[in-house]
Amino acid sequence: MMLLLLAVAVPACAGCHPAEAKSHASTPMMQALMPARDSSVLRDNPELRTRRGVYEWTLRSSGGDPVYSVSDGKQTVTAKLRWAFGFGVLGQTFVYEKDGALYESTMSYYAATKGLDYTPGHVDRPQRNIEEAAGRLIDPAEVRRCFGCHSTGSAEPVNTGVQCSHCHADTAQHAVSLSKVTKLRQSSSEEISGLCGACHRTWEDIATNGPKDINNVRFQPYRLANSKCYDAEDRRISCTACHEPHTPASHVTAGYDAKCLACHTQGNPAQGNRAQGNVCKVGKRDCVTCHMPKTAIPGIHFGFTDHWIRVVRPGETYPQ
Amino acid sequence: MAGAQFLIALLAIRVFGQQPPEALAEALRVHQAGDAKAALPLYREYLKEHPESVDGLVNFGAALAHEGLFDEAIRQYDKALALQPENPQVLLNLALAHYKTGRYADASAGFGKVLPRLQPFSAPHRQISFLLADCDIRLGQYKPAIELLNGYDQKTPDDMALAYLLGTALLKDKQSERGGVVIDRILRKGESAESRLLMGTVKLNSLDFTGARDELQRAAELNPKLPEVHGSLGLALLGLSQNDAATAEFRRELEVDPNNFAAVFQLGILAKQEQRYAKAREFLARSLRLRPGDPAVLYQSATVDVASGKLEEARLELEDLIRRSPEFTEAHVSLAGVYYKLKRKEEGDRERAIVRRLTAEAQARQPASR
Repeated sequence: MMLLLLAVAVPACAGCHPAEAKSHASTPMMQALMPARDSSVLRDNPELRTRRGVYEWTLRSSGGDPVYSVSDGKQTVTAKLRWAFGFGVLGQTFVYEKDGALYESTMSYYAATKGLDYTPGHVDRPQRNIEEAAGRLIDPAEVRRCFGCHSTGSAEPVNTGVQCSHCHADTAQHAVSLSKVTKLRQSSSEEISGLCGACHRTWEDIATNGPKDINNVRFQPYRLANSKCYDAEDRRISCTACHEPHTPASHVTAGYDAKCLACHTQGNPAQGNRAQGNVCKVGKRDCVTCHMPKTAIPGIHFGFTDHWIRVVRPGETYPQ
Repeated sequence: MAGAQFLIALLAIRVFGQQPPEALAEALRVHQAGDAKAALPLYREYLKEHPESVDGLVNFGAALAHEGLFDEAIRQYDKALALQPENPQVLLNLALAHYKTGRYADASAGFGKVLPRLQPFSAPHRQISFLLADCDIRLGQYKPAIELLNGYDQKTPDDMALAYLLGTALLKDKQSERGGVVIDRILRKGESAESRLLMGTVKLNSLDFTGARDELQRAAELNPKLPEVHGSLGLALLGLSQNDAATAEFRRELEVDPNNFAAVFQLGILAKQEQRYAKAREFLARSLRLRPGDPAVLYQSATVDVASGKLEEARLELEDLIRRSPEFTEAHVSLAGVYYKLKRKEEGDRERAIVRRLTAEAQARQPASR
């Protein structure tokens, strides 16, 4: 309940910060969660179907709440989908309700294949009956964590998406009295990693709990902190140095070159370049294509940008 | 833990070789007649006049223990022990009182002193051996427990209580093969809560949380009062990310056995995750009393301080923990974070470098990485 009271929704901020509010509305973060009936993925794919072994999963949307069903040929389980997690760039995972509890669907939608496949973590989960084939019960504590990242404030009614107060503390007070808010641009790279890592996972999260394999490529703050050029105090290597959180992330690789060259160039320390990195002998364009290779996680149908910035050696094993 | 089931009323009234003084004799008479509560003021009165009477102190302690006043009983035994440090009756009573109050390190030390004085394989020797093994298991010291029980295993292989205790120690020590042999022995006697519990433990060890949950739910159906069942079920549910259900099971375990380490410890961690830091500290302090100096508990206590913003306290705790357990990777991870928050970048970088080295070493040791 406290989280709900502290949550300040975008409309309250838009009056004074219209540019940020407008551009942020188009970001995947702002659309990290939506009622399933509002999912454009489901609207554009009125029937999705896949079969694995004896089970067949179907997702149908024809207005109203989309219906999720699983059949083994003898019996069928159906449920109305309540929530769609994810903007859809990578895919969407769905949540349905049964007997007052929330369940994560066994099958998710993947944009790359335009179809259904196992939700991460479900491929090895036992399916001893049709209920287990349908989905996984989400414990209330996990529900709080899911909504805690994909919405703003973890209580109902849900403020979907990552809204202003998710990142900007003190906004509730600021909205009332115009009190000063914490200036994130003055934060160190480690502090920014801590903020973004609250959802994208910090170095500490992964170093303590894993995964210590290719699955951690999704967790950018962890990967970034392992980079040789990472400096806990230098803002030039923070998440926000490259990503403006109020706009969708750019996929134009050359657009990031200036960020790399801020250090990796023959600069002049007197002009503010505190630390000079090595100068690349191969090129000065599209740095990220070599030094932050796209890495696919088996089953997820997406090439994640590996934020462990490094000189990638031919045939190297994935640095964990 | 199963050992508690073997505990019989060893808090016996001391038998005198000679006639006790009259005032003490009256207290003993009332006590022996079964009214320990009525004997308490009589012992108190006697000890006012004879504060250094070991007999008075021991029997007063026994009466207090009978009434559940273990802390007060321990004080009397301590006084008696100061007067006669080798008195076996005092040592035994004190160890039992420590056991009953969950002070397993002290109980283990006490039973360890008593055991060599008993005739091997006699009934008291068996009971004290089992209690000592149970203490060791609760303290996470499985190998000494196994060593202690091995002698009995050769002598009385059909003893199901022994098989259960030994099986538990073997499985917790990850000696699955020999543990399996012991479980087979129990299973041959038919389905029981004990056999299901051990099978659940096997599955927990192999991270088959669904299988473990099913075994342990069956064990709980067969005997909901069997110590360890609900605690282990809680662990299985945690593995399945069902934290609320796990919390309920840990609480059930504490109703059966208030000194179950896993239940107390996990409730502390869960409270920390829910940002109930005062409660987390309370459970972790209890955990530390059950396993003094346990690095995992010390680590969790430090992370509660990190989470609640007590960074200096956390730094000191983590630095101390790392001095004692330099290979404790998670402690280095947290300490790195604390240093960064305290703007001590070089030390943070140093800790992260240690983490990377330890992680690389651990991965190199894994068979799949070779």
